[in-house]
Amino acid sequence: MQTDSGLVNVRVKVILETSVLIASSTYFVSKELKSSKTIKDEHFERSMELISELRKRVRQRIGVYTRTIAIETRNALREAIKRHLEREGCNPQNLKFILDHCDDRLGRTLEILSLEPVDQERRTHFLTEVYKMYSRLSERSTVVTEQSTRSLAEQKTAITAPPKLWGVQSEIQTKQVRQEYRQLYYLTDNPPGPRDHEILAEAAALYESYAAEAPTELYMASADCSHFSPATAYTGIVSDQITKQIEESFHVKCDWPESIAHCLRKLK
Amino acid sequence: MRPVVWGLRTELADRAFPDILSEFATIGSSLATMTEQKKIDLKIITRLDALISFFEEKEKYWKDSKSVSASSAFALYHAWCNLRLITSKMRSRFQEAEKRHENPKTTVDCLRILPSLLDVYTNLSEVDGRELSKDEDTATYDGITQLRNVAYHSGMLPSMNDELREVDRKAVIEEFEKFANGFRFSQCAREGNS
Repeated sequence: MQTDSGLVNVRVKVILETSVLIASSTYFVSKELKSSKTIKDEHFERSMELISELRKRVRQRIGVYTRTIAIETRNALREAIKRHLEREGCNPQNLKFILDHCDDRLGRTLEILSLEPVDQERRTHFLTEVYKMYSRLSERSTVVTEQSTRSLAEQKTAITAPPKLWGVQSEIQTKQVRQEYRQLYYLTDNPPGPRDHEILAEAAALYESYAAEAPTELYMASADCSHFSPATAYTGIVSDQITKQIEESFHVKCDWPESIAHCLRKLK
Repeated sequence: MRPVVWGLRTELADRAFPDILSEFATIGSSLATMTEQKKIDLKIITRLDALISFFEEKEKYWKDSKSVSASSAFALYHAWCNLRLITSKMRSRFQEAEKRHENPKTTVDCLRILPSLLDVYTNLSEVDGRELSKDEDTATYDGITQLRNVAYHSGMLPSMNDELREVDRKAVIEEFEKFANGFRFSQCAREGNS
């Protein structure tokens, strides 16, 4: 197999993270139910692009998952149903229907992916590394304050704009700086949970075992930009401090499912 | 035919768990005989009806029960309901077996699903009637996931349309949209609302 970058004999693997598996199973159910609101929602559609690409290439065994991912996905569906149970006037019959059909659809999706065993010793090793990495990033994110953002924006303004435009330009630059560091803002607001750490540690352990067999590019499809995938602003500015760090530390390329689907289409 | 079933139903509803287990054993041995003889014995429908009624009683009880937390009651309702649905599908497969020329496929498919049905039932016989611990809750849901998966691959899972007949489609869609909306956690970042 050949990748877009022209590397010959580089094997490509895609590990699907919980958010993508949930989005795809939800999309399938919405389609069967003819729920126009959800079908038209891009959030769910994006995951489908990747799922259909992986289905076409099922014999190449590109799509993978781990036991932790499957358990975590099922738990997320069940927990969401339990939260709905607490709402007044909810009908258990409807919730049972939703849970079962999302779970069934998840099962069908997992059937086109390969369940990969994870070396527990290496997983534990990487888990420590993952905690350290997020801890360093969290420290870095505390530096990204409103004050430091404004200060950086003012510095940029002073270089790029004439003095009479400094007021307007400074506002624009502040917005841009905020967008550039968006992922770190998210990390402060929404720190990764134990399961996020575990999933990344397993992905790192998988990369290591793949790479020991043959040159491999490992993508992790995720719709979670607080901890994995890049955050893209409407202006096109990409904030990927966490994503880049993950790739640098663990050789795992986190990205949005539709972007990975796009890469797969280019594979020979 | 119904009065006979109802007679059995009342009798079964009062039975203890071991009696239901022996009902499963009888069904299992009938299935084995039918598969061996390649002949469908429709008497099995009466036995399945009795089980369906028993499961239905349990399902109804747990649907609105306040004797345990909402979460435990739902897990139990969910499990009993699935037992009923899948056993009902078995029943309808037997009813249509001759017409569809599905002999001995029907009995083979039923034999394939019986161990999972029994697993779920055995688990329920241990936890029914009390608050579920976290592990019991997980085991109950996992059992149903496994059961529905085996049922799907054996043609014993009711279709979505079959299940929709039991609920208000519009209400399900409304509830589903609220549920799905809860998972759109990171869309804002992708869309770029600053």
